Amino acid sequence: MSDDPLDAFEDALFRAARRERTQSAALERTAKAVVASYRQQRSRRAWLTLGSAVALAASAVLILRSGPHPEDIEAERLAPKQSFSRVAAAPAASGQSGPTLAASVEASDDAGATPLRSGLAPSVAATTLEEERAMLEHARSELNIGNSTSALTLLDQYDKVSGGHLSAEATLLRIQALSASGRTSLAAKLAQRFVDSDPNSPLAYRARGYIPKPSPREPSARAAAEKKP
Amino acid sequence: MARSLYNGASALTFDPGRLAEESLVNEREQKLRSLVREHFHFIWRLLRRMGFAPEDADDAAQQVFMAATQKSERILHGNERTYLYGVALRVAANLRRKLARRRQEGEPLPAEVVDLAARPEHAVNIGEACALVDELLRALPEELSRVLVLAQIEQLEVAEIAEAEGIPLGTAASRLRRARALFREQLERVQERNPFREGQP
Repeated sequence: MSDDPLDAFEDALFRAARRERTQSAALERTAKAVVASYRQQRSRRAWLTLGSAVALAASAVLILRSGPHPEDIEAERLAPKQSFSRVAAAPAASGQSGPTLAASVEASDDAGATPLRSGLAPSVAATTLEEERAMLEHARSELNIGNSTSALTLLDQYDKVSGGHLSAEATLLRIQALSASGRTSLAAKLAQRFVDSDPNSPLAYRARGYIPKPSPREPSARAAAEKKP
Repeated sequence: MARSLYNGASALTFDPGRLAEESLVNEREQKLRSLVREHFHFIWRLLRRMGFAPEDADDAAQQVFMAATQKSERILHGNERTYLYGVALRVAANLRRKLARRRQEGEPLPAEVVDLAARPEHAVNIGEACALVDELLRALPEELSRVLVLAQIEQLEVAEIAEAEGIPLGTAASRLRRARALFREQLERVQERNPFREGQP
């Protein structure tokens, strides 16, 4: 051990710093919080597993319920070439750049082919009203718990497969989700377009709430544009 | 199949798989408790030496362990201290930003600097010594202060410091040399304020 008083001073300072402890019950509190957080994580994971299983079962039930009728099976047996490949080929044939799958089914119907039922895969054919309602409910519940991004993803999925039964409701929901995610100007634009397309619909009334009111001093750019000859 | 997808649903069935899972969960919880008990003071002292007031260090230490629990599978056996140290640096950076914002908004902050000159010489205690250490550490560049704390207070080897800081061994050694020299200079400057003149703490 050195006799230098500065060495001793330094040692004593570091020793004291080594002995410092929190005076509160922070350690026990942290231990409890950490275990509680771990349990919460586990429970969340369990619910997620359960949710996925239920969703899987529901999809299976939907597939079975919307399965091909005996007559359709017979029709498909008689005309085996009218199958899934026709649905995939339809967009190219109709010359559309980015059609929805539902539209492609409609396009093939227009061509006079045998209607293809949703028995192959529910996402390929146009959805039923109930299915669409369920999809929108799912998106709405995500929005209600603050998952606007997830709600928007679900709405994108809806747009891909929907038969358009609830497209107005879906648009209103998208406006709400965009607004909730902070993309207010996009929400306002979409709301404006929505209102313009059907100004008298009750949903348009709700969409108006997302269009910013023009300041009384400054006429809106829209109003100014309308005044232009 | 006796095993259910959700544990709560199969309470009435004897399921060896579930029992094994429960014992695994208990073991995991026990490990988390030990992790906190073993490393809490280390993390808390680090945060204190980074200049946080005791109550802020309490909260920040809790945050460190909560964040570590979220990704507990990333903590390898024997690597806990290094992992927690990395999390503590991130939590400290966030807390500093938060405190700076509070300062800008004019909220009063807990006193971090103890006016040693105003205290009677015989009132030697750990708090006073720690306040002096903090004052001296503040005069050092942050990266030097950190290695000095790890070496002198937490008594880590240079190799461990290099691992914790994610720097080469040589860099850790040279930082430690510079840190010791600078700290010594600061110490000479304040030696007349030695709170241990009348005895060790």
